[in-house]
Amino acid sequence: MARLSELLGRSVLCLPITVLIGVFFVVPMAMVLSLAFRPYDAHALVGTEFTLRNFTRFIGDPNYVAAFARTVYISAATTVLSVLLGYPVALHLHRVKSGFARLWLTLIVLLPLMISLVVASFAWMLLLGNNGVINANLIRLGLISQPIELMNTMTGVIIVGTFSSLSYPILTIFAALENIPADLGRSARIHGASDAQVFAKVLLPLSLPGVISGGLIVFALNMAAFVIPFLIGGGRVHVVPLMIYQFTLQLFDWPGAAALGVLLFALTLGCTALAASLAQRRMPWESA
Amino acid sequence: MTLAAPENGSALELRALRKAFNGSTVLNEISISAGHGEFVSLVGPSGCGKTTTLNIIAGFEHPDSGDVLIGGRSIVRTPSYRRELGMVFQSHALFPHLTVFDNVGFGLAMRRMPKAEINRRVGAALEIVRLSGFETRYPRELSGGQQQRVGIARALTVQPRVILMDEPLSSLDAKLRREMQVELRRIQRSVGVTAIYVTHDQEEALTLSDRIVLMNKGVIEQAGTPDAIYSRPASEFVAGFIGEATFLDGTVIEAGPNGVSLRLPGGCMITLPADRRFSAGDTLRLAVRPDRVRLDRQAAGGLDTQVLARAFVGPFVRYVLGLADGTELAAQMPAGAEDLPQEGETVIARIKACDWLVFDRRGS
Ligand SMILES: Nc1ncnc2c1ncn2[C@@H]1O[C@H](COP(=O)(O)OP(=O)(O)O)[C@@H](O)[C@H]1O
Ligand SMILES: [Mg+2]
Repeated sequence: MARLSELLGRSVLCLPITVLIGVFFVVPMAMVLSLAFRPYDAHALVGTEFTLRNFTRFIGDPNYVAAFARTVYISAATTVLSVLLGYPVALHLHRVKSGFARLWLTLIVLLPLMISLVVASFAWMLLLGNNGVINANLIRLGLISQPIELMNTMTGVIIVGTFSSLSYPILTIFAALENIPADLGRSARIHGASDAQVFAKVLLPLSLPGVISGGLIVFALNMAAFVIPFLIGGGRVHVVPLMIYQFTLQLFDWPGAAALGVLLFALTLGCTALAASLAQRRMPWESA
Repeated sequence: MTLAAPENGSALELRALRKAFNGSTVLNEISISAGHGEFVSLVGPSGCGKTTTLNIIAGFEHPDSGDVLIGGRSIVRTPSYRRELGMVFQSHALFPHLTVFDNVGFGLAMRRMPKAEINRRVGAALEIVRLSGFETRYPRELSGGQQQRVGIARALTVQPRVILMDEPLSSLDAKLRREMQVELRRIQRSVGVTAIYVTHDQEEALTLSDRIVLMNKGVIEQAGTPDAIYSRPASEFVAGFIGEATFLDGTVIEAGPNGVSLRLPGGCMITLPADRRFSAGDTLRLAVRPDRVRLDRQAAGGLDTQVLARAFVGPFVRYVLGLADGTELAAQMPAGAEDLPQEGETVIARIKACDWLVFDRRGS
């Protein structure tokens, strides 16, 4: 990795990509950032003087604070669930010997990423609704008498978020497992570790980097997720990206939208950094 | 009904092991036994089945047929983790996420041994491999040689019935490897553990082993003490693999009670001790070790040769000699010897009759 980046660092090949990132990422982001410090103006939409009011009005308002908390909660729950569900799949993929089976399984794992979120969400609506497949079957089996509210709830958003994010932890954990030399497992076994112990003492700790990176991807993606809360939440699950949408396209309060965006980004970055540093502390063997 | 294992039986016994991968036979009737405390090496060219044999002992592979006995009891159906073995890997295979202490104590922790006992045994093992004081380091903070010592200590703490080693030193550089050979021998002797050592390095096998099992293409070519294998190789393959040798074809001119006379390429005649297997007209495969070839200038009765090349290799001077027809013969003289022949000189190569290794050619 280090060598690759060194090579790229010296190469002129990175010039176009630097320009591209500069023009299409840094510049718009800088514009959003500067918007966040301008007042909202009913006539011109955006004022000219410098202000911090955009931030103070959100940070001081319990409704907005709750929305941020809700966004973090949904993302965190989605992250934990997708890592927990993804791990066994990754482990299975790792243990499959046949190259052919591996290829097919990998394709299946990648499938959710190939289907538009809008389409996937629509499919989930058919499953989760009060008259949907899940509730209908549970009622028919006599397990419940009233349908469980899944549509338009946080639970529904978390379920769909989990399944649409599952590919990432599966792939990162699979890669981490593949990177563990086979001799480590053998050496654990020959020195007295049962299969369960080999997993708990060797595979699991050594695949943690894959768990962490997969988890962080899922968390970041879901902090910024719009489609699923919009379609599955049905306007009742207020998360920050939905509010940014409202501020931008319904209220035309662009400075407010920009400030929400900046706050959301800072929160995502903060949570990610915190999780990464906590993880780093749990893995003292990783630090150089 | 179980039969009590004989007290002085082998520590490890392999009985007629067979193993094939995808239809190609990798092990064919491999039988080996190792006595208690014995250091047995499996030697052979790459791909001859050494690792597969070790993996079957370890339980990572299952033999197609045959049996593995430890202390007289069959273990082929026992899972690896209950076989009470220790293993040292070429890749070291230390757990990167565990400290030296936890690596060495791994097997004991898996057996849920009391903390105090683990402390005691890990301390003792680290002392044996001379790594006391390194307990809190992580593997990546150690040199290759130190890592391998940790690997050895980890295998020793479980007090294995047999310790298995698969080319444990081949990832180390030449100098460190020689140091570690001495170390390994010292440790194995002091602990008294039975060791099965895999290597493709015949010199290492000669240095370390009580007994060498030389394998080739899935069969055992010869098993015996290093001395026996070196001085009485059972086949041409063994003579070529263990130690160095020059191979020559000789034609039997006369075979009788007084000896066997042979003509070598280039016309020189030699006489070997009487052997009833040979008769006039046979072609025999002969071999001679370079260190059994004496060079001198005056006396007759040896092979007339010319020095084609010489090279100084530390304690020895290596010679490549040419017989009259150009056939080459390797020789070796102590570097300190006086009046060493120079390149281009004509010398007499003198080889004692008993130093010729003779392989009957007719069979093969
Ligand atoms: N798991 C396996 N599948 C197929 N072939 C194998 C496998 N393991 C070893 N072999 C083959 O068996 C032969 C012996 O291998 P090995 O025991 O590793 O040899 P050595 O350790 O003496 O170099 C080789 O030809 C190798 O390709
Ligand atoms: Mg091998």
